[in-house]
Amino acid sequence: MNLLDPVMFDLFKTEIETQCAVLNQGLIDIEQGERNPTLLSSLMRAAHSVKGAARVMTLELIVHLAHAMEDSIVAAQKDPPTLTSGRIDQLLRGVDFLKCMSTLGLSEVPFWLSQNESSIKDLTAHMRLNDPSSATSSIPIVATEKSSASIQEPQTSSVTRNGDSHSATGPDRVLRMTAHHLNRLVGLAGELLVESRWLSPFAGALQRFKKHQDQLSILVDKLRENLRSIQLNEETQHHMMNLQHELIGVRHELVTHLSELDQFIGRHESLSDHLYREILNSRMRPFSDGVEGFSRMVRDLAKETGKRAHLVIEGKSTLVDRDILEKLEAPLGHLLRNALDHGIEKPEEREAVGKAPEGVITLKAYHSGGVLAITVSDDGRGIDVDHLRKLIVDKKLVTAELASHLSEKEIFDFLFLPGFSTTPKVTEISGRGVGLNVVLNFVQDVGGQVHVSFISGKGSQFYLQLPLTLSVMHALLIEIAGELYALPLARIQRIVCIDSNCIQNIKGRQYFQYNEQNIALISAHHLLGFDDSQTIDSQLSVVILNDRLNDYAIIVDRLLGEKELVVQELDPRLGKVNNIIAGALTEEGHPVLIIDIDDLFRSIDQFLSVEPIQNGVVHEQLIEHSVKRILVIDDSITVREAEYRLLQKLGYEVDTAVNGVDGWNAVRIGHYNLIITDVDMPRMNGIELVKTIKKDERFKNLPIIIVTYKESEEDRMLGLDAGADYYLTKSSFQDTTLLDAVRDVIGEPYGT
Amino acid sequence: MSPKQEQGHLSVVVFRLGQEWLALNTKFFKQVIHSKLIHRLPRRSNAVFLGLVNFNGRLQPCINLHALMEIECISRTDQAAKLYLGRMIILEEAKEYWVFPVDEVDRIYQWNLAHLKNMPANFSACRSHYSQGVYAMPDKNVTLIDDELLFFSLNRIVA
Repeated sequence: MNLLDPVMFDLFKTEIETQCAVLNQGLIDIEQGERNPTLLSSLMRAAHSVKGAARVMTLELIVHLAHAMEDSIVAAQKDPPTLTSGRIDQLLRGVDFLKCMSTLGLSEVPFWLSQNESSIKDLTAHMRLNDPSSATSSIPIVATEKSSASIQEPQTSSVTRNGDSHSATGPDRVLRMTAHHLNRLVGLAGELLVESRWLSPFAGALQRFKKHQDQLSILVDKLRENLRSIQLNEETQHHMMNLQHELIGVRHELVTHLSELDQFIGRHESLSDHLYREILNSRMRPFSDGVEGFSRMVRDLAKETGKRAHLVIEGKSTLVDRDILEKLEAPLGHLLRNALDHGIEKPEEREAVGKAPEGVITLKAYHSGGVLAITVSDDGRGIDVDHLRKLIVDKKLVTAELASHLSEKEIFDFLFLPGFSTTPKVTEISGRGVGLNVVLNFVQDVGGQVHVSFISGKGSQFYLQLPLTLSVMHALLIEIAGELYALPLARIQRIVCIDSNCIQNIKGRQYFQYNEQNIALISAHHLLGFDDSQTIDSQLSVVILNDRLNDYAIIVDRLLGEKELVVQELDPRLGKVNNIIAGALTEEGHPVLIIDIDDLFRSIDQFLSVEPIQNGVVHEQLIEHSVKRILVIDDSITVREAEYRLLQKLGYEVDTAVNGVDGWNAVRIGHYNLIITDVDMPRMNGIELVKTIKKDERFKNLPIIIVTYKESEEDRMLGLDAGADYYLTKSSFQDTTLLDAVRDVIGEPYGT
Repeated sequence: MSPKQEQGHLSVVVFRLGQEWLALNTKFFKQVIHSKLIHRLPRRSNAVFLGLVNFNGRLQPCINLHALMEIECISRTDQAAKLYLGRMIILEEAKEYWVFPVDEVDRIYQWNLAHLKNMPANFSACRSHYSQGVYAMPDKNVTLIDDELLFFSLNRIVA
């Protein structure tokens, strides 16, 4: 198998993905009765493109498969256009193989090809045999870890060669760019807007300047008036006239320029505003982008359950925030499965009650009143509320007594509980009881709602109400320790200003009364770890939050009002930051940190669980220099982890490095008391490292322990000659051996 | 060092932190801007990692280079210094930005590497970690910063 060029492979994968989408949708449409002859042509072209691409990549197996697919479609074109269901199955199976390939990493290709070779050859042969009745559904696709044979995620932000790629032609073609790139664009557009806000006030200042200049003219006129009574010599008169002349000229220039500036400001503000909106909107994708593959899924599932059903998608062009679209796939998948499993009846059942044997599931997305609405409805049997009621009691979730009083809505709430399932048996599709809980989690995650409704015997509907965008948040801007923070408005119970004399002290904790309730008062300074305690003014600004159990009152420095903030994820270099969920900028471009309410509740818990008296004196534990610091260097993660834990537990402070160069860098900046290193490592082995360390004036006295598999006497000598203080072998490794050596060389963790 | 450099030459930007003149390979410099507001990161900010700064509409980490290079010599406290030095330099490495307050930025120079000397023995041990050598210019001695070590430690510091 030839060595594939990574760049070419990426392009190949992009091509395959595009063609697979065309094939999938087209085949389903044909199965649904679409008779447009151009559709078959476009499918033929798609298969043809795949064949060509595979040829370029010298993937013979795929070339043959695509060729067979192409011929299949062409054959159907010649006769009165007939693609039997069996044929379509075969073709779809082919598409599945191709789709699977498009998810592989370059290194996985040879293995995947060898695993699937016989299956692909089988399918190809069956296609050629003109034998649509062969059991194609039994041909398995051996998937790698990451790939799956069913729904593929539409890649909303994938990296290709230089971060951008494109498919097809025309103004509607989809372009890809990295999220990184898009974030930078959003940032720049936002800054431009911020900068352009400087212009209006500046124009105002120039207006005032013009007025001053006018004053100047008036003063000069007055002066001239005054001088009329005196006989001025010619020279003075001459200067006077020049002065007035100049002033008029200056004024004229000023007026012209000011007018130009005003016009520029108008155009500039308009452009910046539009640019910003356009870029924010580029975060929006059409709904159709996120539901590719669902038609196919419904079709396949229907077959598996022995039912007949097809999917209708409405509102394909509805714009959805790309983040929400990504998260929608799983919950929608569950809802569709649910509709098929519980909603749609078997064809015989349906006919018995006068319905068409093939059920219809409708997936719809639309904007309404400032929210995004998504519905999944089916024309099945509806929901058997009594059956549900009984199930709830059977599962011992409530008593029979209580169950009889539950309203319909309350019963539906049970559907969303994790572990709740209404099918008696666990099939591959439903019954594991996690499905609807996924939907609930998703909806809560993005701050939306879900409602269920049904008409007995006629059908059911799940209604999701979601925010239009996750990128803009309604927040309360506050000041803590002189800096700006924001709290999501939706999670705030109430804002209060209280007098300091309303504060009560109970057992060292502070409370105040609101609506006959005692609410705990906690200082935001303390929660965020700022040492400087807040000055207690006569008036305190307080934000009340509720974690479903209790109310908490957070004291902040100042309340600065409601704002709509454009949310930006914190830089990944920072890792997880406690209590902070994201960042934002004010209109003036000042940084704001958005507080993570759930994290904050955890901090509140921690804070309240400490004895109140100590709270006043709680500091961050300063790491004293007297704690001994050790650097562990090994390229095996297991060994690193093991040594790290061993030493940390005893109280040493331990850092790790993964190879010699990494280790040398760390040694130079980390101020360690001891180095423990392996010998066999990439990028500078242990012996080299020891020599390098010992050669350096600054580190010649730094103790080094070697821990290695190399046991021979020569290796030992090599290590000790290089300058190591200890040479330990891993085979005779006991925890105590290492610890004894460590203690021998640098002593206990604390103290001298 | 860029292989495209004329053999034995290095393009650097020279700047000043306090009394010290420092230099870094030009290829890392994205922009020099006027000082901006630094927002501390709760429980993360310290003398070296000052906080976040708005650059081109995105929040970027801001580092006290002086403290970083003398990292052994200062005691570790949580206190963040709100620096209002004249300028900030923006470095770019591996598509990521880093912000440093500085006192003054001189300009780009072409250095002849043959004239780069080792750190003199009387320089404090701390700073020599990050030094790749000292270059004698007509009016000042400039320390060349080891960029590989610099970016290595930056990533460790903010994580």
